[in-house]
Amino acid sequence: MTYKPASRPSKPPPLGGVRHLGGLVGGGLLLCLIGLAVLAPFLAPFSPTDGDLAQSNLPPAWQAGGSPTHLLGTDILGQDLLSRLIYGTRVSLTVGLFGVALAVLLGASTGLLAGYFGGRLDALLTAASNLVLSIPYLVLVVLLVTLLGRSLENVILLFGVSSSPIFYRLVRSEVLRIRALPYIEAARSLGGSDLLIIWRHILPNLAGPLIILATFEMSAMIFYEAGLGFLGLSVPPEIPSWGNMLAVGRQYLVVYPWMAVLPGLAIAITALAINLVGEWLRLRLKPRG
Amino acid sequence: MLRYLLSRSLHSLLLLAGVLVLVFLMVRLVGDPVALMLPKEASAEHRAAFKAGLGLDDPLVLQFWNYLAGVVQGDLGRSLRTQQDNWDMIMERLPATLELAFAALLFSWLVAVPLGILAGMYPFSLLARLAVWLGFAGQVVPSYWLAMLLILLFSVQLGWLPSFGRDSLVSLVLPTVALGFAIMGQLLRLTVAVVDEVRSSDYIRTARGKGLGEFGVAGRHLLPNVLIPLVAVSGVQFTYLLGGSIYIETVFAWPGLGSLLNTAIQDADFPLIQAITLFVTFFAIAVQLLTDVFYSLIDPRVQHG
Repeated sequence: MTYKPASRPSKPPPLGGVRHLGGLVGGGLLLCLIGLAVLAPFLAPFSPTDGDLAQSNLPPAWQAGGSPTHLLGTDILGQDLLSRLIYGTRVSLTVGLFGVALAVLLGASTGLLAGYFGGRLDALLTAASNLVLSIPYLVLVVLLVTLLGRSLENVILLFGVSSSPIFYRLVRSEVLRIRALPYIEAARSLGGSDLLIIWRHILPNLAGPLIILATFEMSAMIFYEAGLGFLGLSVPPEIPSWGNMLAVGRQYLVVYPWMAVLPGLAIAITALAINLVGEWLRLRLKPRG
Repeated sequence: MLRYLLSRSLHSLLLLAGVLVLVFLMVRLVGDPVALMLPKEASAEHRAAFKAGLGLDDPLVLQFWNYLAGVVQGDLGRSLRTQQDNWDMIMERLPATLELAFAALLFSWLVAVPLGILAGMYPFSLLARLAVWLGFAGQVVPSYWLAMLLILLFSVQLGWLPSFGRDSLVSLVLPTVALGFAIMGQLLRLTVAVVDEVRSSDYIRTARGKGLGEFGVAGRHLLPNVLIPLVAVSGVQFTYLLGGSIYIETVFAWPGLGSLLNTAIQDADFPLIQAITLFVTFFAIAVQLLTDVFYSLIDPRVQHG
């Protein structure tokens, strides 16, 4: 048997995930998607909601029977799919952004209080978050959205609330770890108040792990929003969203496959962009060790 | 050991009680189920009668008592649409969901463990690249979309596999892959990370120094290291599978709890929705308890952690 050195190879193995190039590609893609969402009225060739029944069920332009005026084809109401996909970025990114913002706000503030002050408050909040996390997530949001009714605000609200325990857990455990470090003790013995210690010494250390979790949660929320739409439970059906497009596409999957394939592709591309950025952030922001 | 078992079981019991209260309150305090179940043009008297019929105008405490007494006796109410017993309906659908969930879990293990170990052992190989991309794809491809792509490719184009129903083992293939794909990605990443960490440790070098071959190193030392964290996450993953089955069972018309829940939602059948939510959550908590206990048996450190 030949001797094999067990030391680390000089070149880092490719298993560390996707590195700089991935971050660049992901960031670029994400910027494009945000651009599409913001500039949708200028970029979309047609109105996303005005259908022309004479032009319905057209396949994408490169397929037989496709028309060059409707590059990605049309749906059963003759609505232009490209325009609907462009407008759909608005719903997905809005839900991802505001849902995560709400979850971070709720989860991080309660996690900070629980981790820093401990005691009964901590016991209560931890029990509550364990409770919410024990219900399968999709079952929970399905129940809540059925009760609340379909609207963009409700979807954001319930994603924000039901995802906050994940952030609570992270922040609480991070605060417990940081609070025990010697420099916090030093700050306290020098007369630093709780507020000063939290603001100056704890919050800055939370930023890294929070940002990393937030990116992954954002792509998860975009998945779940479209998934709810797919079940007919997200934003009202008249709003062009990827989930609503999928719900229609599913019914005509075998006859008009593009109606389901294209919105799914849009979701996958968005998730890809966010995950590439998240992966890059994870490698950059990861605390040593 | 006994102490750990007791405290862990107590924790699960408390969770069960909490879920019971939470679901009860959600259904009664968030939104108005009566408004959702009745058509808009229903008269005020009709509404009141309907509400009284469901016991929804009793004082909250009395409602909770009745509900609790029912759940303890295995009475989860009756479906609004079919008037069937909810418990019976759930029991009828449960085997199909369990079959699918376990198949998905098995699929993800069978792909992720061998591929992950090989990828971790040979980090510069093509296989390792494949593992990285598969792991990444698991995070990026939504299961409901994958389900439809699989149908288009294997049922419509190639005509190899059925696209719906539960007739034979063959009809299990596509739903299993669609449901298990995301978890397979997670497990793959986890396995590769563990092997990557352990690979260069001293005892692996010692094992090699003793003359143990690559195969022996993988089987004797890497595999046990990988299995421990995998068992630890499988409880959480099972919970995820129970949720994800809503999409997959809907796409493949799989006669399980997920498609039952979807039907209940379309019908605004609140008693049934509530019953399924409770049941699935109880089940998930029980599975989590079992995995935790099993985990503590194979890794005694957690009992003292």
